[in-house]
Amino acid sequence: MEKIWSYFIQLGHNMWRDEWSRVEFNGPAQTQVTGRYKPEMYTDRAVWRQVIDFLPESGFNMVVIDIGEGLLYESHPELSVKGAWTREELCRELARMRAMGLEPIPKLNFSAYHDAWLGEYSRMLGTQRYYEVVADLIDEVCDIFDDPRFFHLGLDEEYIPDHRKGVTVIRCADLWYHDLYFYMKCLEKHNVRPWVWSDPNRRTKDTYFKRMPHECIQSEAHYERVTPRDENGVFSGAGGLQGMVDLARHGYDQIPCVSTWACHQNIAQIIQFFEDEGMADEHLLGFLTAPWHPTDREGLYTLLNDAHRNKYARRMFESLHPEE
Amino acid sequence: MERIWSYTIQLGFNMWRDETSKPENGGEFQCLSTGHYQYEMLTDRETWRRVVDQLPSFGINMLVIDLGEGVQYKSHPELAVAGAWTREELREELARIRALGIEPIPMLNFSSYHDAWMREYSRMKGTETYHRVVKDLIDEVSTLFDRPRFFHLGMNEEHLLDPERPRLWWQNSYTREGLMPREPEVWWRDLSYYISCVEANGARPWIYGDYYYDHPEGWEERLPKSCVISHCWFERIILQPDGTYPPRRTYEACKAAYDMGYDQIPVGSDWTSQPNIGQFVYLYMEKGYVNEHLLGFNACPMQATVDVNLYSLLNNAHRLHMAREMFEEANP
Repeated sequence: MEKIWSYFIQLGHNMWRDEWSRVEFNGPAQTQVTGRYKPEMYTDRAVWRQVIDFLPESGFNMVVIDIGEGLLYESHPELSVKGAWTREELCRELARMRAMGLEPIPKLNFSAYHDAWLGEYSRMLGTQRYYEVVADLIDEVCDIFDDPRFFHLGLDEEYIPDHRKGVTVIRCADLWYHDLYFYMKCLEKHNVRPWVWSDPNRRTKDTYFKRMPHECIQSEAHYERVTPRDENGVFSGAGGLQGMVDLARHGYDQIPCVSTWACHQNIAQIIQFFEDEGMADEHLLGFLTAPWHPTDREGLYTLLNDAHRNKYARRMFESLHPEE
Repeated sequence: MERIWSYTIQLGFNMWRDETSKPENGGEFQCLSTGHYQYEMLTDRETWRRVVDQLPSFGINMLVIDLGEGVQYKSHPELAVAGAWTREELREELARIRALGIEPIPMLNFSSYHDAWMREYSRMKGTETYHRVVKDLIDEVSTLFDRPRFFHLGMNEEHLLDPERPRLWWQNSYTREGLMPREPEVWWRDLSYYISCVEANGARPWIYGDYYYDHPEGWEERLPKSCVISHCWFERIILQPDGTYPPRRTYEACKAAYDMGYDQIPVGSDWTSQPNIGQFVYLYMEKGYVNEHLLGFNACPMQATVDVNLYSLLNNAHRLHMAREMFEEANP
């Protein structure tokens, strides 16, 4: 089975701050990373093109596109910001990617922490209107992507109360799982496999492994340097490494997420981690590289850096698994 | 006054680990950053060239070259690793760098934590041999660089060797073992010696300033104002909910250097945070530290000059460029 070597790119970027957020960082040049809400498009087309064109030579075969406010949805044009791409533009770009050997996968992040792009609907969780909008968007995006193999639903970090946001909404467990099953049902009719971030497992492990269907592809993340278990057998960091081990133990298909967000060596180190822990098996579908940066001029070399490191990481992995 | 927009590049790389250090986790590609001790030259010439050639387009006007084990010193050839550049090769490259409009500045890091490149001499501090080697190297490098305007002496993170100091996970047993930090009196005495060697060659000494964190006493009496100070901050700057800066020793040290009237060249990096460089430049602007003593800024990737790091090396230059645009817009 060919492993997935996927790259995460942001078409939209209003996933961290809502329109009520205060500017987090000091200074005008510092607000571009998971920064402020913008009523105009973040994405720079020239940078987008330069990055996408670089992906095949960097060893990627899949691109996960975080769409957010970056698309002029026919079903909900009120969600798009100024300069958002039209459906035709996105369809053309998807065709261009496929011609380059890249499989495009859509992502709409429905975490209550990352859905500022949903505008006022982000404050309507649990209502009939919310479910209608979600169903409309999933239908439309599946259509644009020609019923893709996977659909990334996000769903990470919902437990974070954030003083920088104007409104913080956190679903409690039953509603969170209810909504997860609703999103999955929306995908089911398109025969598309759901994909989620797995970090909720760190806080409620028993519930998570009871209620999370194996059909859902899992992405855990650890972006810092990887160090071996300490003398108590515990991994460093916020729980992402242990989360990867637990997912493997429970037999989930996973695509771990890696990034230069906090450590340039992270990408290769996570691959080594899967080797060291004996988890490079058929449930390891591949890896996802996420720069966590808008597709803008400031981020150009950050975006290329993440991509370039994949080339080396993939080479290392395939030298250990020549059959892959 | 034209400000300095400088970039630090690694020619040598044996500044973090010595020959007895344990490699950080096993994989082949995990150790290229502050990683293994190298017996052969790590620097890849093609990557070096690709980076240096692009620096002018990023507005860089000074290149600090961390030499370490990367030169076949005539005075101490025993320090060079296999593949180290000859004196002639380095001279040619310095000429090329100058032709690009960039001022090359040498750096030899004499911190006990970062002098693995000195091999056995790193364990001879306080001896006549150590002092002779230091002088030989500073004299030779000053000649090679045609009497540079500045000479960077490093001197950072000496305290990380202190066994009494609580260790963070990255200050663990992967790093150098069996070494002790110098006592403050010895540290100051050695620094004065390095400075005298540099000044004898007509250059201005330049050091990292983090020794101030644990030893804030007596700086004005002991450190001449001719010495340039670089404070480094590589992490994200996140304001507190009330909009103020969180308490950090680095920020206090930046202020202290400003208050004492030292010339400064603050250092940023994308080492652990992408927006750091612009944020650190902005901190100096917002705190009102922009005056004639702020000579400029430095971007320091802390990454070996090898292909896997190519785009992070360029990223640091690119982000310094954007920070420069921001700075010059505010300070025309």
